[in-house]
Formats: sequence, C-alpha cells, structure tokens
Amino acid sequence: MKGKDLLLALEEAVFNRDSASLESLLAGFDGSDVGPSEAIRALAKGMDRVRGRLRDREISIPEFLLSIDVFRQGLRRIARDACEEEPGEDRETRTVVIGVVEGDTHDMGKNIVAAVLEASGYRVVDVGRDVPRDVFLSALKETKASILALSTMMSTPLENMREVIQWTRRLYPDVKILVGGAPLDERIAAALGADGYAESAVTAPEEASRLVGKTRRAAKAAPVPKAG
Amino acid sequence: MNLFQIVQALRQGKIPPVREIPEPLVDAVAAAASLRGRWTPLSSVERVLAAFRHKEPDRVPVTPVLCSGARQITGISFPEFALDAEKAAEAYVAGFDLVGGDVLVLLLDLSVEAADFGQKILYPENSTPRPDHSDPCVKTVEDYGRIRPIDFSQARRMQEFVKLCRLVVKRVGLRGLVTGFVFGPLGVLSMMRGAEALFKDCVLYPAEVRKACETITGVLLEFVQAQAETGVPAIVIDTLYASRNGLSKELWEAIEGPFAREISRKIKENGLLVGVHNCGHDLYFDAQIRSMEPEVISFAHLPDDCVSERELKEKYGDSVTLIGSIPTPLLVQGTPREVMEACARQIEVFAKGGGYVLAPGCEYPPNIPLTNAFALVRAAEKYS
Repeated sequence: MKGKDLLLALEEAVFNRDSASLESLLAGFDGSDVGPSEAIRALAKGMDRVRGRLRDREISIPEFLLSIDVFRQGLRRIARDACEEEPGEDRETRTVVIGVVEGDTHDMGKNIVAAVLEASGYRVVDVGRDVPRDVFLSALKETKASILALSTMMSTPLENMREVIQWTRRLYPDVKILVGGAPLDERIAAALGADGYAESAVTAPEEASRLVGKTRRAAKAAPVPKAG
Repeated sequence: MNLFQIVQALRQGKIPPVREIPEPLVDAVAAAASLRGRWTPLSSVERVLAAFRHKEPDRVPVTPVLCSGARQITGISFPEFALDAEKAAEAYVAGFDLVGGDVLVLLLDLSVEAADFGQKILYPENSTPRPDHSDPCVKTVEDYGRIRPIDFSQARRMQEFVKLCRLVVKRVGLRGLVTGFVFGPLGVLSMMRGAEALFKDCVLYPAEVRKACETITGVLLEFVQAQAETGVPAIVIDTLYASRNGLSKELWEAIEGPFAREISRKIKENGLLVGVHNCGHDLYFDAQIRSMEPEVISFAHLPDDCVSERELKEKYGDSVTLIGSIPTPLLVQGTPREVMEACARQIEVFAKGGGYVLAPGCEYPPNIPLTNAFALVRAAEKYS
C-alpha cells in the first residue's frame, strides 16, 4: 500500500485499535514513499478521531487505551525505521513536561493525556508518577518546555502540587502550568497557581493550545529590550 | 425475626437486620418516626430508617464520611489507621463524637483486600496506603489464572477490618448506623494489576479477568459474611469501574456484574442492607441496580442517563436512597459557607419524600481541616 491509501490505512489502524494491521502496514516502511512526518500525522489523525468518539461517549477508556497503544506502536516503528525523531514545527514552544506529583501513583489519566498531547503535535516528556519536585524542575531545565502538566487523583498530594507550581513560577516564569485530576476543578487549579485546568483527556489538547497561545501572544506583545 | 428478637437486639445496642423484619413492620416504624419527627428530634437510627423507607424524617440524615480524616482527631498516622483496628476504631468514634452525623461508613483504604491476596502495599506516613506499582502481583495475563483463594482466617488486613466493624458497632451502639465496606473484585484486581493494564485486559482477555474475579469473589463473600456477623446493618460495595471512568456498561455487566450480584446476595442473606458506592463520572445507576438491587447508592457525579440532579431524583429517587454528593474539590477549597450553600441546594433537590442522606461524594479528604465536615453536618440541621 502506498501514498494516500497508506496514510488512510494508518489512520484507520489507530482508529480501530488494530495493532496487527498497523504492523503489516509499516513493515518495510522507510519513509521514501510517504514521509515520516506525514505518516505520524496520519496516526495522530486517527487518535484525534478516537478522542472524538470518547468525547461523544461512543467508546470508553479501555478502547481508548488500546488506540493509544497502536498510536505509540506506530510512532516507535516510524522512529526506528525512518529515523524520524519528532514532528518538527514549533518544537521548542511545544514541549510539555508531564507527571503525577509526589504522593500519588495513579497514572492512567496522566498517560492518556500524555498520549493525546503527543497526538496533537506536542513533544511530551513524561517524568512518571510519584515524582518529587526537583525531578520536574530538572526536566523543565533540560527540555526548555513551555508547558508543565501536573496530575493527581488524590487530595493528599495537593500541597506537593502547590509546591511544584510555586517553584516553577519562581524558576521558570514563562512556563505555563496545566493541572488535572479528580480532586481538582478550575477554582482549585487557580488557587494552586496553575494557568489552566484540563477536566479530561478530551479537553487537554485545547487547554494546552490555549496556554501556548497565551505564551506566544505574550511574547509578541512584550516590548523588545533595547540593546545597551 | 419476631418482635422478641428485635427487642433483644435493640437491648444489646444493635440494629436488628432490617431485611429480616417483616416489611409492614419496618414501614410502620418508619412512618411513626416520620410523624413523630414533625414535633421532636429523632434519634439517628430512626432518622436513617425513615429516610431509607422513603419517608421524610425530622431532618435530612447526614454523614461526613469521615474515614482516615478522623485520624487527625486522635493524632495517629496513616499506617496506624490502616493497620491497627483498635486505633482506627478510636479515631472513628472520636470523629463521630466530635463532628457528628447519623451514619458511619467504615473504610480503611482500598488496598485492604489486595494486600491479603499478596499485593505489596506501601504505607506512607502522610498519605493513604497504596499498591507498589513497580511490583504488581499480576504481571502478565497468565498471572490472572495463578491467583489462588486465600485462607480468610489468615487474611490479616481483612481480619483487622472485621475487628474494626466489631469495635465501632459496639461503641456506637444505637447512636448511629455503622456500615461495612467491600471493594468489588475488579477494584481489588486493579490494585494487583494496575488499572490501565486491567482495563485493556478486560477488552482483550475477558475470560482470564473473569476467572480472577471469580477467585477473588469467593474470598470477598467470606469477608462480607464476617462483617455481617459483627452487627453492621449495612455493607457498601464499591464498584468504581461501573462508570465512564472505567469500563463500558456492557463490559462491566459482563465482567464484574455477576460477581457484584453474588456479593449483594450474600449481604442480603444476612438480612443486611446493600449500599453501592461509586465516585466515578457518568456512573451506571441502571446496570448497578440490575446487578445488585441495592437499597442505597452513594454517588459523586450524575449517572450516565441523567442530565440534572432533579432528573436523578425523579428517575431513581423512589427506588433507591441517594447518598451524596458534595464535591471533593469544594470540600478541599471551599469555605464552610460555600459548603453549606451547596448542601442547601442538594437538600432542596433530593430531600423531598425521604430517600436521601446528605454526604460528600466520596470519602472526606483525609488531610484537610475538619471545618467543612462540621459545615456539612450543620447544614443538615439548618436547612432541612
């Protein structure tokens, strides 16, 4: 299969969570017919359609997770066979550091959000679960990320989340902070000092875009410092 | 159960198993309580009984669902609360005496059953116990078949929970209604496998997951039986994954539904009331009712087939008693006045005709001050 047919088939494989089909489609893939970026965009399109089905309650979390697996399988395969690293555009402003704050190991929601952000074109650096403050801060320093996404499903680690936010504000004031999880709502997110709140994986990419948009607008609006 | 036995149970300070009392008699007592409640304050047991029989009591019954949050009162750590029934009982009773309420929901944490099945659990000083996800008990799909029934007499944490039930029932007596608690088999499995892997397995390997649920349920039935023998008048089954946060409705009914039904039957065989707790989004009231036929459902969010609280009350308010649903974020961040205002709104929607207990949608957040627990109890007194 080649060209547009291949792209469509890749999209369908993710949409139908068909791991075997994806594997056969990408067997021998070398990026010469369809470029790696195009192939990745097709996979992402499949994820976006699946996210729409989740939003419309046509599927539930387990099916969504299986589509994520196929999507990631495709990314790995393309990276391996076509030496593609990541989609290139706006990389620096589109890196997200994501993790579950210290004191909590529930990471399914975080994993889902990481995948949908990845499918939406962000470079996602997942630092895991039960993550101490300093690990987040190091990741922000190393990756020059523009968004920090924090998650918890419990109320007990909220103080840890507040602490990570405060330190991020202090050390990396340009980084936008997105939070999500069961004990949170918009108001708590704001009280903790976050810039945004994602109610679910369905809304996370839009909320992240809003924050990145904010960064860009702020950068454009900022006065250019005069030399000397 | 005849009148003599009922009186005998009451004289021992125990609530008799409601299902064993002839229904007309229960209704007559509830109606009498409802009538008397127009003029004089009722006891907690009368109040809850009236509400459960869909009669309006003197005021809305309330529970702050103060579980490990109560350890703040007696100054014990999370591990002490989780592992020492005596200390947990002391905290529960202290919470009940200090904050008040009509119902005590006994819950240590969600790792109790999984721990006894061999899952390694971490016990942090300042947070709820949790499974060590780096070392799950069920590492592969094949491991589902390797789960074996355990000797319940040696199940240390479940035995400790049974002891907690016994101690609190004895100490609270007829001052409040004390409920037991059991995590559904899928919940227990999620502690042993990790939720993400379990969810995918439910789609890809349903037979293997069902087999594991069957083994676990066998032990949970013993757990429920032991709780029933302590004198708790009701046991709550937590079926978290019967919601949009978990499986699809069809998949839940196919996998956990039959086992939830078995657990519910065991509770009912003992004459006890069945409660269901589910703090997921868009929970499946209809499927859970089909499966467990509960008297009570505790919820945090609207069911998938209702768009408003009013619709929930209209659709399900006559068939089950609703418990809830002050949101956790409000308890964490809201002022006592805001919590009371939210309570007033819920009382206005749900209280008419009985069948309602004011409560948080989930356990009272264990690390926040108890101020909003007081606000919740005060709201029930003020706005009913």
